[in-house]
Amino acid sequence: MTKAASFEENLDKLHKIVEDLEKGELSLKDSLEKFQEGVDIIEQCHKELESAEMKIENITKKEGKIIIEPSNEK
Amino acid sequence: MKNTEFSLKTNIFSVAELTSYIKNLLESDEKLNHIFVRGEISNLSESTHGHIYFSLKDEESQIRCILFRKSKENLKFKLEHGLKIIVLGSIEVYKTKGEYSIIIEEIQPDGLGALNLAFIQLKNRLEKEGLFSIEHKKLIPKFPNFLGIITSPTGAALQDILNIVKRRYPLVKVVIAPTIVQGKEASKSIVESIQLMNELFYVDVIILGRGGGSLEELWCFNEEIVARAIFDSRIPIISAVGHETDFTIADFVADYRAPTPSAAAEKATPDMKELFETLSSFYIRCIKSIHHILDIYQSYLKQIINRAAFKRPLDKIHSYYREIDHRAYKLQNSISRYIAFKRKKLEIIESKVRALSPRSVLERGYSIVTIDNKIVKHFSDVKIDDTINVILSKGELDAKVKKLKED
Repeated sequence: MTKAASFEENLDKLHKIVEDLEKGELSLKDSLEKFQEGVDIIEQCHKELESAEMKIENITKKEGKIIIEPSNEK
Repeated sequence: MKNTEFSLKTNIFSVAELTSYIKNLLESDEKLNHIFVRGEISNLSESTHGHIYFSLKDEESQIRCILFRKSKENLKFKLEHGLKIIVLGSIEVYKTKGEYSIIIEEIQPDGLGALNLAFIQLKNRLEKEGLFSIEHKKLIPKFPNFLGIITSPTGAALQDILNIVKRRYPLVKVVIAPTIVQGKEASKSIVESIQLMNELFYVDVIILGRGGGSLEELWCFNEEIVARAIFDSRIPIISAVGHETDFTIADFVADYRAPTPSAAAEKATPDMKELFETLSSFYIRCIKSIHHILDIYQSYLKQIINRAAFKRPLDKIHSYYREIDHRAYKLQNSISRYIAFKRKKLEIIESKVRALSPRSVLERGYSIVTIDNKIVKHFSDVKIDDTINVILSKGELDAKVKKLKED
């Protein structure tokens, strides 16, 4: 499997799905499949947003080396 | 007259002596030391050694001015022809040329503050160079994965930004480059942080900012090296310096100028609330269109059902009924005609038969003789004295045989 689609990619996908559905040119079977896919992505996006916890890092440079460490910021 | 004066000859100066005298006189005069002079710059020139020469003039007079390289270092703004300034300096006489001029210690713009003027000058210069032009503005991504923040680790700006980003879009990962944003070290620190962020390939957008302050406090954001670092940044930069009304050079160069750090955080991230709304509007659209599609198929189905074959399945039967009726009628018709025909034929036969019937024979005068209900056809059928029955056309007779006769 490729890595999970980013939120933005998922939104783009949703946009496309909705447009396809609204055009109404798909067969019944394809429509239902797209519909299911759309609803699944919406649910996934919801979950992602609800469970997200912001990650914060500090970045500094010491003697030419980049140092990234978790921040104390909350 | 003149001759007499010359003849005195008592007090003849050499040029050097006189000049020295004048130099002494002028330079020791308190009133000509540390004086402020107001005027306009003209005949501006810079020597190869970096000293600046110009004339300070007003409507009536002018005086030579010199700004030595050493004093120039404190100058925030650039000297330009026609600029109205106030100089602080002292009169000095340059003996070699016998010229007096003001040796400048400090220059202030007349009217505007020095920083203000420097600001305007740098702004104009960079603008001409194209550093602010729209075609150089990079697009701020709508859904950043990595947000870089360049600000003081202890400032309120950082907290403001983090709070808002966390509330709006906690999906984002934040990288903070702790940076000095005030004082002498600030501009260098900012430039380093911008370059550092650019070394991280994954940072999508940078917020560069700090809270409000005086022009002096915000000055690092007006420095040329900062402006150029922002311009050179591969990553789009949102500037967020001070309060709404504070504009800095950094704001002009940045790809987007936010009035405050909080506003920058809002620009840098999509709002989760809106995203939820977007998601539910997508959901509604999905549901609506699938219903629509189902409706279409349903009405298509209905159309098919509505075709006569499905809608009135008995029609065919009815027509068969009628067909049968029709045929039955026809059949009956033909049968009755057949019957009538036969009847007629029968009548004919009947009349023929009738013609042959004994009664009609009787009518013609013949009689039928029976004995014991048997027809007598031969004389030997009876004996003398037998009682025979004679059927006449009308009535019957019982008679006795008297005589037998063979023909």
